[in-house]
Amino acid sequence: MRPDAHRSSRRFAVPGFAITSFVVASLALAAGGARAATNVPTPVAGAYGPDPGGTATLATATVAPERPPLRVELDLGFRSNVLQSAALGAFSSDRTLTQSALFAGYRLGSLMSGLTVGIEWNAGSASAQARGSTSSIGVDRLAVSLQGRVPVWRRLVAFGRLQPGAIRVKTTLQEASVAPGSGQGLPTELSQAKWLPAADASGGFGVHFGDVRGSSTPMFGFWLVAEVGYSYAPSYALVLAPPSDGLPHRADAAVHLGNISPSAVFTRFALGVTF
Amino acid sequence: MKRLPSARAGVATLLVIAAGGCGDRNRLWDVPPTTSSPLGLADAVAVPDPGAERVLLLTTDASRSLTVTPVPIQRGARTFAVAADRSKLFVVSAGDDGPPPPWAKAPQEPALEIVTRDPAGRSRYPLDQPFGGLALDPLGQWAVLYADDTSSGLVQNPNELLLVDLTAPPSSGATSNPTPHTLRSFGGRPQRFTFTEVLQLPGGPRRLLIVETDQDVALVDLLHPSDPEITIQLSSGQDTRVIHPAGVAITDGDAATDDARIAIRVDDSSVVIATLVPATGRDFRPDLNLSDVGGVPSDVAWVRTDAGALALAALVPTASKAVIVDPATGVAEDVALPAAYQRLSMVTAEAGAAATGTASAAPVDVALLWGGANGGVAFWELGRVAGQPYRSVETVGVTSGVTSVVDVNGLHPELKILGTNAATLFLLDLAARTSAPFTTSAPGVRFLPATRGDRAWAFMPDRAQLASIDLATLHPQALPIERAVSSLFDIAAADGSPPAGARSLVAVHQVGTWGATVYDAAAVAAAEDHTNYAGLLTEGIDAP
Repeated sequence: MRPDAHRSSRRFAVPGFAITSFVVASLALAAGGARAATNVPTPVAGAYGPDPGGTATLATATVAPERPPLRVELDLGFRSNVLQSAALGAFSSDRTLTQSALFAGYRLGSLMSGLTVGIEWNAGSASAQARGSTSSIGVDRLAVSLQGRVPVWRRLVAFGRLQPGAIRVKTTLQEASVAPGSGQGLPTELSQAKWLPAADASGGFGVHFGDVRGSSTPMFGFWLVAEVGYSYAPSYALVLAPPSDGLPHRADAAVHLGNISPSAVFTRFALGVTF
Repeated sequence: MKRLPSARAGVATLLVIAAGGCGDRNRLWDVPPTTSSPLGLADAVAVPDPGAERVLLLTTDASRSLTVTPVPIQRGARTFAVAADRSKLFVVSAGDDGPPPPWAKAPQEPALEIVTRDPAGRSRYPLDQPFGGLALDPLGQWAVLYADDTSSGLVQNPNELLLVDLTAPPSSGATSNPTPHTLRSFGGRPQRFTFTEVLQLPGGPRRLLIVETDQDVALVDLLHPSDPEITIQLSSGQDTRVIHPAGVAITDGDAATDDARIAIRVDDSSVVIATLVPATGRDFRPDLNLSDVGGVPSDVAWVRTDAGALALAALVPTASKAVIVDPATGVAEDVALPAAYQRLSMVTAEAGAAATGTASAAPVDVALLWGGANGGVAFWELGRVAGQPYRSVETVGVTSGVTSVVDVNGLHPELKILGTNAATLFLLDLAARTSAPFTTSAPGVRFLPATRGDRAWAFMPDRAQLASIDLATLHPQALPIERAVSSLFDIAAADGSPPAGARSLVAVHQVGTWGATVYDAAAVAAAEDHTNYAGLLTEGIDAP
């Protein structure tokens, strides 16, 4: 066995599209937006300016349209969980689990203060070697988010969040000692999938670092969000069972790895956009 | 502007938490699966897991439910052995100074640990030396530790022994337990240890530890384990030829007299008979006689011949003969054998000597001869030796070379399972003098008699093949099994779970993190029902 074979290989799963391209594209867009906000003169009613032919003409007096405030918020980032249960050490070499973080919400109040109501989905997995057998854990979380924010300094806001929801924990052990099923060659997996209620409490900061402005008012606002909190989920018995094949005279027993709790201290970093 | 420092501090705190907060993982998850062989106790299967500093006890109940109980043991475990009555597991460990951080632990000294299913039966004897060798007393009172190839000291004296009285707690001081004992050596080092039963010696009833080195034999008085031993030198000292002991046989002789004797088989054509007689300055001394048996003996045993006379029987396969030696006179009488038998097993009680027509009322022995290349087995009736030795040997219709003789015991002590070097086994009935053949799919099939003696189990190592043989009807029945069998155990199911006396057959699969298949060892109609277990070595690591 290679020396590094026991180390966890955490995967950062972002279903649907790659976070890297999103971040690059978003930053480029944010930079362009910032330049546009700087270079484009703000039309003012009754002002005069050069016409395309270089002749001074009376410009058309325009009135900026009344844009609604930026209400919708979308965040994409990652969330790192430090699992509190020792039994989960079988599935992660450092008991950490990284998840993608996808949030969609609706803002009440102003850009810098008010409430946000939304939904967050997290998905991620970790794997390790447990006494030479490959083990893995996958955790999906779907939660309702209630967030309050207050301005701290210029473009910096502080916020607090409560997220009641549910998680699905799937643990697997690829194990050669599992009895093969009928006609299946050598399927050697023990697994358990469990739905649990969960609740998060967290707080953090958001930096409004750029806008894209269509006229006098921003069309998009860009945010960097950093957050820390605690996620609670009740403990349960970690019992991994092989798939049942219903062969006569045969029963398959499960492996008992103790009681675990998916509760975790977590940090979350995300890039957000409001529009 | 005044809030900027606090905001920066908050962001910094988040980053530190994100970068830092990794939890500790139990290091046992990184320990590879054990390669030690499992051992069968009477009521559990013991799986040594030295890398994880534990032994797993697999216990069952009548419903084929298997429980894994981890029992902590010391670091540096080297030797695992089961008591003759299968009641205890002995673990010899070297200890160490403790692993380095972050897994720092307190240093551990060498120790002999006793593991039982009942926690009250567990104990630990600290040792002065990190020995790895272990020899156990069949009667369960003594254990001997010695330096073997697994011992780790920089310099070790192979003749230094630690005698552990298992019936007494560990102690130190003048009457320490373990008791150190260093053999006076003439160049040899211990090869085998034999514990005698209680012998009526000139100084009173005594048990001896017989230590065969590669040059001589030492007798240690277990009543006074720290006293100097008696050494029986086998080489003459007149030339450079070294004679090596190859085995011993002990008899207490006649109970009324001080005539306990030790026969020493050596690797030349003679047998040394040591009669333990009164001595001055100590309780007894060996009086030596050398008997030439005409070839290198492969096995020796004390037997009762005509009229209950005590004699030494020796097999000499190079001459296809046995030799009967009178211990008093040293006179040897040859008995021609039909094959070059290598081994001799006493089967007097099971063979029913009185039913063979022996007229004498005095006890006479019957021996089973086996181990020849193709001679099968033979009964040797030692009551007929005198005068007509040619009529004392009776062959049985076993055509293959017998490589093993397994006692059935339980309900059928008269049965022996004869393993051969071919794809055949025989069930030998000592009482009826019959041998029932069974053919197997390939050579190398192993047999395990059920503890009750009502059936025998057969399996092919590393193959998913298992069968049960009813020893009353001689009917073999294949049992379904999905995984390759590494070893097989017949153990008592959990006490208190109905029905009383329930037993389980446990097949252990040493692949991955180990699995087991459990059957009801007493079931007839539901004999094929079984429960599969997997991932045994993963249990109990993080469980409360």
